[in-house]
Amino acid sequence: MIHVTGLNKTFSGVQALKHIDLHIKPGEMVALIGSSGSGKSTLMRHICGLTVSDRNSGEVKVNGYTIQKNGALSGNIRDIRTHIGVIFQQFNLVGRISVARNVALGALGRTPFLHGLAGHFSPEDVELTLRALERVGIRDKAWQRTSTLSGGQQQRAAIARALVQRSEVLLADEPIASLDPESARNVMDTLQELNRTDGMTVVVTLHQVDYAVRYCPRTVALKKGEIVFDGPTRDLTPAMLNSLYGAESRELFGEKSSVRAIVPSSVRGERTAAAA
Amino acid sequence: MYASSEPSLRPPLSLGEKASRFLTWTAVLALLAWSWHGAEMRPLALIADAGNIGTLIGDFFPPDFTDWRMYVKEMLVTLQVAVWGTVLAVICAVPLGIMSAENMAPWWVRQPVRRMMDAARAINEMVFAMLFVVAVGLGPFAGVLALWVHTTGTLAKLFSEAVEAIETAPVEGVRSTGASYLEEIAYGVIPQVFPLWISYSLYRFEANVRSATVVGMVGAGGIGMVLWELIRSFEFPRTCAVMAIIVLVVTLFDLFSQKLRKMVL
Repeated sequence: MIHVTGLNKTFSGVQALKHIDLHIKPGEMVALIGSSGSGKSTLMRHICGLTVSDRNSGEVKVNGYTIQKNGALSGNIRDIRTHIGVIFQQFNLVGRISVARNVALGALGRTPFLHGLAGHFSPEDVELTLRALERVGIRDKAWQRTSTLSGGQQQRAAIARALVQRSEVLLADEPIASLDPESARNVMDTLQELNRTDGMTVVVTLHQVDYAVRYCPRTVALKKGEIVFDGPTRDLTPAMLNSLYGAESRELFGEKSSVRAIVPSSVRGERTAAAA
Repeated sequence: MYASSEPSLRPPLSLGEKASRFLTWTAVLALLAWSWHGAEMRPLALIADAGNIGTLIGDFFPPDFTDWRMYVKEMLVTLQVAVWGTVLAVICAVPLGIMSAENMAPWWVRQPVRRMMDAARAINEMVFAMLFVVAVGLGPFAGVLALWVHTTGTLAKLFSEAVEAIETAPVEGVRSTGASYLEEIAYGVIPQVFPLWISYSLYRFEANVRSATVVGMVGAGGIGMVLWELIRSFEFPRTCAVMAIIVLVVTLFDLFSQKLRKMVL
């Protein structure tokens, strides 16, 4: 579903991504973890085609479409983007228009150009919009101005927009980093439900391991632009993290947040065993 | 240690900083002195000719409102000129403003558009009015054209500054759905700048009501034309009446548009 090969990215002399190879199969739910500056968000932006790699380095393919190759975006990137749902840490919704309209923007790709500009969406898309809002649990907020919603509600509106896109892939870049724990769980539950019920491929960047452990069977860990771990999340024991990240691993466990409350008991048992 | 110098809230200055302050103030004073000369400033004339000025002011009163119907009619024409001059300018300033915004257009679009807008702004609407009177003849339409060109220049700059200050996140959000460039603008940019744009447009409308009263003086219709005729024939009581009407209407529109601007922001 997602194929990243030989990707390099340099920001003003600093190499943010070093020769990344990553392959994700349809229907997977994968966590990309790493502390801030590890390159996980940069990798995500490459996958959805918002950032281009260094020249002559690597290729990104999603769902059979080439997003970018050798540092140039594909010519029909705007068409390809319609098939990839993306949600962001800051929700990236348009604050001054209604929630329903923001969600309906997901249908822009298949709306005739002038209709799209004028805001006329087909009756099917309007229905799809309302159903998507229903599904993420904010149907009653549909006609509110988006900026009046709480962070968690806005993030669910962003997920609804991806649903309206009818995308088979959902890329979530730090979707819960600006949310309180309850909203965070709510958003992660929604992502998990989409992955399980619709078979949607979900890639989510997180900077706390707890959520990866709870929600994602597979984890890819980055450190200073390199993949240092790629495998089943259950193998990612505190000892393992400690060896990968050293002192940084404490940040990944979210110092003050209580890990025990979030991690299911089965996993916790394994972890304690491994730590002992 | 503290006793040796007075306690002070001023930051300690190095010798270089003191010198540069001194130079700055010298330059400012030199500029004022130099301009005094060029502008032929004679404040004493105000005192010496006080009698003349007094007589002139006296001639204005009492104002003569006999022709007030005509004045009101011409004042309405002036407002109508301001309305159309502003509306046409707003319509043009939307694309031109986006084309001169750093985050929206490449330099080879931005630079020519910006220079064009600079030119439209640099030349006063009175000058444009004189030119348009030659081109389309005497009358309010020349005034509309003059306001249109000048206001487009001003609004395009204000609009583009608003666009340059937007947040990129919502635009990326719209882009990630596969939207086209124009759709990115329509959904990502315009909703963000809309209240500011409205506010700027109303502000320019206020300014244009004032400007429309003077473009008439060069023959572009409205109350300005009446005013100019009256001043030239030394009809000071009537001039006074016209000026009173202008002050009243301009003040009313300023207050009204201020209220509206507060509402949209």
